Amino acid sequence: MKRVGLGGLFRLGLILLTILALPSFARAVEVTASLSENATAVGRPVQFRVQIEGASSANVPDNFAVDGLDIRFAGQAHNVQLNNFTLTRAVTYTFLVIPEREGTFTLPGLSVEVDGKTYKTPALSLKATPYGSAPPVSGPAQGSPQPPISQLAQQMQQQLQQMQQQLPPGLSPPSSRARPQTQSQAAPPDQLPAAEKLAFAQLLIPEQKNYFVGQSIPVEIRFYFDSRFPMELASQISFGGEGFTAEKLSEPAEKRQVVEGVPYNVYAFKTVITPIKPGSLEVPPAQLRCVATLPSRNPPPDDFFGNLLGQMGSFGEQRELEVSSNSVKLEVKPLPREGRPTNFAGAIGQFSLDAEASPKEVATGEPITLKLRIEGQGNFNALTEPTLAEKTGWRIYPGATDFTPSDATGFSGRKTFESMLVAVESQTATPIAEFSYFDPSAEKYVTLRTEAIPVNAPAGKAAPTAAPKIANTSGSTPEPSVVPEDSEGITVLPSYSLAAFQTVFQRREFWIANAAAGVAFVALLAYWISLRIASGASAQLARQRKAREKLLQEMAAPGLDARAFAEKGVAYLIARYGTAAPESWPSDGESAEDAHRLESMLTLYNETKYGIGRTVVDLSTERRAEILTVLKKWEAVR
Amino acid sequence: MKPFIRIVATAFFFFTAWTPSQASPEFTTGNEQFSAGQYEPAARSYRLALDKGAHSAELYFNLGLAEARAGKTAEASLQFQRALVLNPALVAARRELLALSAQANLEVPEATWSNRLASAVPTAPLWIAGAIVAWLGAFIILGGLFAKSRRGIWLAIGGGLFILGKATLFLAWSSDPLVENQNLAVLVVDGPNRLRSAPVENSNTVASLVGGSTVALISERGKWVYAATLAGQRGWIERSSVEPVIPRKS
Repeated sequence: MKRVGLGGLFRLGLILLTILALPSFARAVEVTASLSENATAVGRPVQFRVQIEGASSANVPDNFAVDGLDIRFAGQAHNVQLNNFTLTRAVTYTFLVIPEREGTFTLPGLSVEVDGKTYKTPALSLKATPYGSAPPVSGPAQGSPQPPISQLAQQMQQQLQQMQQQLPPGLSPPSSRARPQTQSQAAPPDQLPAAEKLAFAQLLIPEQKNYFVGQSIPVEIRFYFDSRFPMELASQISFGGEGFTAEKLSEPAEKRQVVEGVPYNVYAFKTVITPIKPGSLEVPPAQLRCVATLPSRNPPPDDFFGNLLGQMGSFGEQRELEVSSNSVKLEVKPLPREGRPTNFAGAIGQFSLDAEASPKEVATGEPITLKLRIEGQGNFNALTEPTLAEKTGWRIYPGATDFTPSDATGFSGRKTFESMLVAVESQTATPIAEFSYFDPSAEKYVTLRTEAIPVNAPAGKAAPTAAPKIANTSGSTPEPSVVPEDSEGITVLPSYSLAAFQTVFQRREFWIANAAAGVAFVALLAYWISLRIASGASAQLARQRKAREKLLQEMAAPGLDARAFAEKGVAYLIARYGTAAPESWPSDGESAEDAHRLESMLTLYNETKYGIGRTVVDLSTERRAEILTVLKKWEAVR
Repeated sequence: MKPFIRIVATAFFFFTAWTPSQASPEFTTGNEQFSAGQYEPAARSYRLALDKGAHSAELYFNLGLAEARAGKTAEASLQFQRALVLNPALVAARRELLALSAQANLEVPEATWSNRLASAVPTAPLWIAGAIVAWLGAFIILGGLFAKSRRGIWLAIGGGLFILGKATLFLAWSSDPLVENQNLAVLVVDGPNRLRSAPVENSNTVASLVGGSTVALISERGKWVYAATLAGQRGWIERSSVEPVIPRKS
């Protein structure tokens, strides 16, 4: 037989629960309201419960008021039941109702929002007799035929009584005051561990002199299973009872522990219970059923098949165990009336308060976020926002609330209330926050105050709520403008200026103006470039002219031999006309005669260049002078 | 020369920043209905004024107030954001939007440095001033090219003005709410809005957003739009559930 660990069983159970939970989402939601008693005395609390079946959460108003009744939210409890493969979810919101004077009161029907739909509970009647008198015997008043919690508690108590009747005589916990009872439905063999040693449970509640109505009390439930034997869970954990609400159990913390030489797997569950009425309160045991597989009393036969079956462990004996923890008795007192601050809203525990504001530099009309953090241990689900004192000149908008638990049950943690403050006049500091709670250890009320946080909200800009008075726009008869505001002082703006959902660069005018500027720029740039080009060409011409004049000067130099004269003359002609060929020279009548004068120079140049050391033509001084005169004349022509 | 420049600059800023106050009959009626506590009729009157083309930050603000008072959180969030796009300096709209956000747990854009700049300096004058200064710089550079003396000084002055003008244009572009919010849209269906992993009805839910929250539109496909939340989650949502902050037809 394969040995299945408890962790695997939990996982399998969770998967099964998830699968079975699917149809439950389609179940109809039923909302009921009930009173634990429909008559009581002044100062004696009764419980007002709103139960939502078919949902695991709902939006129930927690601040409704009835004149003459002190109504406080006490807590919420979740319940999940598995019947005939159908999972039923329910959540119960419990309020404490304490009459402050005698009379008959009507608790109004509440609008409960579940998954976006609104349900209305019926109105209930409560009669209050004078203080100290015995209230008339009365049954619960209810808005629905199904009582939400008491019936469950009765069933649990009946089961507990049946279990106690079935306990074998002389059976007692192995040791310690908190050792619970364990009942076996099958007689254990002599050689096997006793049933109470196979599995047992403990219910642990921190000791305190007095407990108070509405106080969150941390509870730890430990289940011990003998690790030497395979165990299978046969039921969910059952825990709850009359006179208190219980939060859902946390995920278990698992560890191994040796008790009196026996190794145990220990699973510790945590939760928080909240007493909802004064008096003696017995927290009933937490219960669980499981099946242990024990070795058979008859050993397997001493042959091949016996050995094989023995190794496979197939000769196990299954024993069903009912594991039940101890119960705990608590004395629950009502919260004292003496010294109760006016702003006390039901917080019980030990808390600290601090505040933070940002930004600290604003103009009037601009928002400041004020964060108020309450940290500590206690009934965080009943904590309401701290009150603000000295708030003249501020508009205050309540904002988001955030709770960060620091343990699995939400008993310890930090709750942050965020508000938005808008200064409607010049301010130098935020309002002071005050928070009152009841400390159950010291048995007294404590009021915490924050320091006023310095801020700078100078009166420079007008507060937006005081809308500027703008003259009417009819244009004919100017009248004093009336700032429109509604009954709560919210103002609207009396006039408007036209605007468009079009930014400047999306407008045609912007692009036309830019295009015009661009065209002008390009035109000017083109003009400058053309100037640059033109000036570049003339400079080149001047350089060429200078070079030609230099050649002419060199030709006029005395002592220059004929050959050099001819070379420079040809160089000049090339520079002037691009070639030394006579066809390119000026060809009018006078120029033809001049060209004839240059031919001797050209002949000498050719003889010098292509002849074989012998020259026929010589250039006399007069001839040179004539050639120079012609070239200068040609140079002068543009 | 200096008095002339001063006069031109003053006239320019007045021209770009000032527009006359107005009040249409529907706007006035809306204000009267609001004062009488008739918030839904007031909202209808403001919408009539808008239908006549009277786009205005103040008009959108009043409409947002009326919607908020009538319990229409999502519509109110949209109108306050439109008011802030048209006039980032309308502190009342910012305040009401933040209050709405805090009360209804909406995801709305937080004020950034560009919002603060836009609320301090209107972007329209920035655009125009930037363009003028940049062109002035460009023409001075060109003039420097023509100059026969002190060319370096002219080029330096022109270059400086050109860079200054371009930087001003960049600032205008960065802070202009009409540029910054061009892809933003508001979920206009009150209650939870599901952002889905695929553009089909029964696909997985990526995130659930409260109506009135703001998303950034990325692309469109049929009747679906692909959007990102302000927290960065991306998914598909029906087009009919969102309304762009900057109206499509304006």
